[in-house]
Amino acid sequence: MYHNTRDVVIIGGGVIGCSIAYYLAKKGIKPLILERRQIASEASCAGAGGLWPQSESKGPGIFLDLCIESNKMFPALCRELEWNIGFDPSGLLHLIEDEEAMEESKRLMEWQLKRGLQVEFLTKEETLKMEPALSKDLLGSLYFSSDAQLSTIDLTHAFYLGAMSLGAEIMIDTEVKQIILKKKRIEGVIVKKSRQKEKINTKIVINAAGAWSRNIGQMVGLRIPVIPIRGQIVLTDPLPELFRRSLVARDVYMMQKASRNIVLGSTREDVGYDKTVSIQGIENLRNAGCKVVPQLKNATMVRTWAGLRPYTPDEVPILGRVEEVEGFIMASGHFRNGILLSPITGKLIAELIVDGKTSLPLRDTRLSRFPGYLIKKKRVLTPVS
Amino acid sequence: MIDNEVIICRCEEVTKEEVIKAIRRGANTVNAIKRWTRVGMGLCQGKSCLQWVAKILSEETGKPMKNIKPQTSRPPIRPIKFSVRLTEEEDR
Repeated sequence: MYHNTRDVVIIGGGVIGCSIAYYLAKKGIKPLILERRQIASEASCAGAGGLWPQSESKGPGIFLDLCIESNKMFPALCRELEWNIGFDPSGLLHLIEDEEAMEESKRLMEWQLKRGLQVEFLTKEETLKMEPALSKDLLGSLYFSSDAQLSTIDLTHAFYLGAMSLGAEIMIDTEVKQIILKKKRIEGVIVKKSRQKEKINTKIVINAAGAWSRNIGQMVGLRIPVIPIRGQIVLTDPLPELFRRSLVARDVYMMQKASRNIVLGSTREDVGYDKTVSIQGIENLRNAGCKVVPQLKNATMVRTWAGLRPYTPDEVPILGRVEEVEGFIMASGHFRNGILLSPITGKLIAELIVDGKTSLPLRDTRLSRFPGYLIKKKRVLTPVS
Repeated sequence: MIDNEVIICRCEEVTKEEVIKAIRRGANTVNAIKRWTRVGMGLCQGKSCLQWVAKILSEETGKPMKNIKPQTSRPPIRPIKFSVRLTEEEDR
């Protein structure tokens, strides 16, 4: 049976929650993960698995730093985790489809070179030599040799198994109903599992609830500006090797996975908690894919799905303590990069809890960067007669 | 009862033993077993195997079959060629 007191409670059994559990367990803390459904059942099983620190960044800053540091951690993780995560450092081609994209790519390349990052401009001929299946209408590409791909579900499972073998625990099918506060300090949580309520005492709660982290914030009087953004994905049948690297075009990205299926992603839609796919969304992805890889016309679509990515207004995750609620730690809002950012998030949150300081500053990832993050109690107005 | 080495999912070549291992790691739904093993993720999308998976889950956990939820269905029902247009709108 579960004991009623825990040092640390993590809300959410996705890739972020499992990574935090793993890094905490490595430092000797045995956290408890509370998961509403099962491990990796939401965004962590819905992504395509691209690790693209450079092509996803818009400029220098904390987001880029987190992406670069996290990406560096994967080779070591492959060695230390006992479950195969399918890590494939095959690189990425950022496809240039027209003059406008050419201008954007030049700007991207300029600031990245200035920052000391590796990026190479490839002409049309060089691009086609690298990936012969690409369309001859492309103007060229940017080649990011340090970008990679992996299996998102396997990464989450690997962190989970690693954490469990070091003494972490999990309660699945368990929903957090309430967070108990006493003088603005965390005292515990009340959970519901198969119609039974249970109280767990703890002084530290980590909000790793992804697209649902707003609901957790409300329980402690915080307004967390994370909303679900739907991403639709299309999967083809297994095909002979058509291309090797991740391909990113304006309206689609594509990867041929280890299973030889090609995955095409993804839409970005603000439709609330709706995970259905739309014919239009799927068709747009397919058309965009066939435009850059013409042979895809012969492929067969076997599966489509959608996931809800936890979006923040500035597309930077929310990490770290919240001054007003002692013991409450944020680790959410990773949007399209939760898989890539999971190792660094786990490492930094574990450092914050165990060492009291972090190896990268969390100043720019604080919740307090969003105005109105504290929910003020509503004043009851007496009607004027 | 079927042998543990028998292949449950022919598309992804998943054995009964692997399904049981996933259940022992904590997978308690058909969807969770699918994520651990890739069972039902191949060309047929689980049309033949996921009933077997549900049955094994029932045997291993003691949960009656009627309480085991089927997998989340993912369109299309049958594989569709990419060359087939899905919407009526003309391509430009």
